[in-house]
Amino acid sequence: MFEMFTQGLGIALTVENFIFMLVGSILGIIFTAIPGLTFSTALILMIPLTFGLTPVAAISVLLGVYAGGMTGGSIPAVLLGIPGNPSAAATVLDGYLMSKKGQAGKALGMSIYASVFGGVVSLLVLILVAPQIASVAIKFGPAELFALVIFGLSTIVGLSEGSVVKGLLSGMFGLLLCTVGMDPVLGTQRFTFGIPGLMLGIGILPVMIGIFALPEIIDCFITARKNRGKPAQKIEQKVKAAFPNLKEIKDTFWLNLQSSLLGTFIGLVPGTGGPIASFMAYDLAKRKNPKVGTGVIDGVTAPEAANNGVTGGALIPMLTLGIPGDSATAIMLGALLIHGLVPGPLLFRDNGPLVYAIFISILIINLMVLAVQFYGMKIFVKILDIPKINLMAMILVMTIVGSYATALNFVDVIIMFAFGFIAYFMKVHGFPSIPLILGIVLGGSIEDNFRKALVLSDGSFSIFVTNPISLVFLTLALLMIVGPFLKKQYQQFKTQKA
Amino acid sequence: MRSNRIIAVIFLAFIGVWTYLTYQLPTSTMFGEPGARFFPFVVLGLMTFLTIILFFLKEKKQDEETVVVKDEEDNVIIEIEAEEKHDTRTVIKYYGIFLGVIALVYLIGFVPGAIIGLTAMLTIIGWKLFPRAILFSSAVVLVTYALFNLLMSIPLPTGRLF
Repeated sequence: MFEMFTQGLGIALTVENFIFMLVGSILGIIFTAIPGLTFSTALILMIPLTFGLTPVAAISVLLGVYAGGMTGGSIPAVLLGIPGNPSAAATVLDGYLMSKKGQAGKALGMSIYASVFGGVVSLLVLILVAPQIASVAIKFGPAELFALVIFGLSTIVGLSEGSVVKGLLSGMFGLLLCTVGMDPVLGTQRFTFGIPGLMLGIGILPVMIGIFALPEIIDCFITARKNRGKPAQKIEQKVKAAFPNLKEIKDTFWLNLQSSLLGTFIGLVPGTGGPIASFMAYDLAKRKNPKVGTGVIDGVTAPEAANNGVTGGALIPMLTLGIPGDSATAIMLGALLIHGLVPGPLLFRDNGPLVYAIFISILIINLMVLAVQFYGMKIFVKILDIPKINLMAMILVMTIVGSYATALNFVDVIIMFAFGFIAYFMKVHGFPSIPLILGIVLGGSIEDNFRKALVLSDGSFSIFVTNPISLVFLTLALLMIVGPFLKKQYQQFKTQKA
Repeated sequence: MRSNRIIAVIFLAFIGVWTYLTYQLPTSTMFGEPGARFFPFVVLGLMTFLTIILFFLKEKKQDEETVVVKDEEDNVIIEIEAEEKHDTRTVIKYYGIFLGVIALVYLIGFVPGAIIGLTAMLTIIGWKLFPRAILFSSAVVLVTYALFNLLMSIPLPTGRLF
């Protein structure tokens, strides 16, 4: 382990990586500082820009966007009362009240400190837990892997806001799209319609660009046309983040630690994520301090530590098992695959130093985010004044280039457009898009392992239930899917009885 | 309910077409291996089951009201307005314009196509054609071109016509 750690240091500590981490962190903060832009979009748009980079440099940029994005959402939350990302929604409650009291600098300073605290705590958990999980998972055969990925896919239920049926349909649609291209075992062409560009299947990146970026662009253009001539909202006050003093650090230490661990644990559970963690931590802070809700520091620090705790937690199943826990890790998983790295236990065995380089990079990024936000706060506050449409126009150009550059194939641009169009109507009719992404990302692995397992068992399906690990994962997956229905039925039964 | 039913019917039609396409796939398999058709059939089967549920699913009323967050003294802290819904025709029109930009890039290449397309889109939303829209579009497209083509050596579409 120590050898891999030192090798990882050698990979991570290069000037090139430092620059990429810094760029990623700044971009992540900018994208979430502007309400309406998401760091998922930033992550996706950064992927094409990483094509010419080494895998570590590419991951450094993306991790920078991820960590910076989790932190940057607190800027508009505190200053405008608008969360920059869903994870910062709980920060609004006390952060904006503090801002109204003239304590915006203090609230921002504490939110930055707590974010970094949460990020570092979750990183420590990641370093301790991930290799252990990977060492167990490496013994898995095709049947276990199939069951594990099915379990990962069952998180669709958690990611389906509104309707589980619509979420599952969306996920199935993603799985079906995975069957386009060459058959993974026999090499037969499937659903390519004679188009050579479809031989390699439907690319993850064009689909993700279409789904995440295109509806946002169209929405912004329509809104801009409707609002033309109207003055934009501007921040008049001068803000400077104030680093918390020793007493504040001491007073909030346990709350920060508990919130960070809570966030890490929630991040570990696929299908949850930052918003749940931050509200649970806010609730924890409120129980400890009844003044939370009136504009106090505990109400800012707890949700921020928790939502950054999620980052390390969510990376555990993604890196060790190849299961993304939320949209950001699904995109990261796609990015790793594009760069030829397959997350899962084999990543730890075959690319151990690289995994440690990722861990070290996360630590550096967290410290960078701290420095960048403290010293760059004045600039980030100014960024809030930039009209969103200017950025959207740039993103529009990037959508075309980004989807084309993956395989230098214009069919991918058409695919990006088609999915952008589909995504808009999915949103209108309440179909969540994350399950579709999850289906596309995990579909290949599901079919491949399923068929390999059947070859090993001479075509007997019993292999999936006679193997204890496979049975456990399949049972858990079933519980994940039917659980909400059973809970609903139980609640109805209880209400009727009462 | 009506909307769900319409979507369910569209899904069923899609499933029907895809099932037909799946039947066209070769049946060859190895020993114990279910073949190229198997997985699409399983997914289509599950989709059919879910679509039937969707057909009978009651539609949830979407809450369009503004969410108001108050503090303990009942002072309004934030008002989160429900996302503004756009007219479907307008949305389709804008997607159509974007498709036009893609077609331009395909036909005349990335740099001229994207500059013309982006300028047109910015003009539509009320920007002055000259100098604002043209200069902004040119700057964005040329910087992107320089970044990808010159710096990263990734070729961008050169166009079919020339």
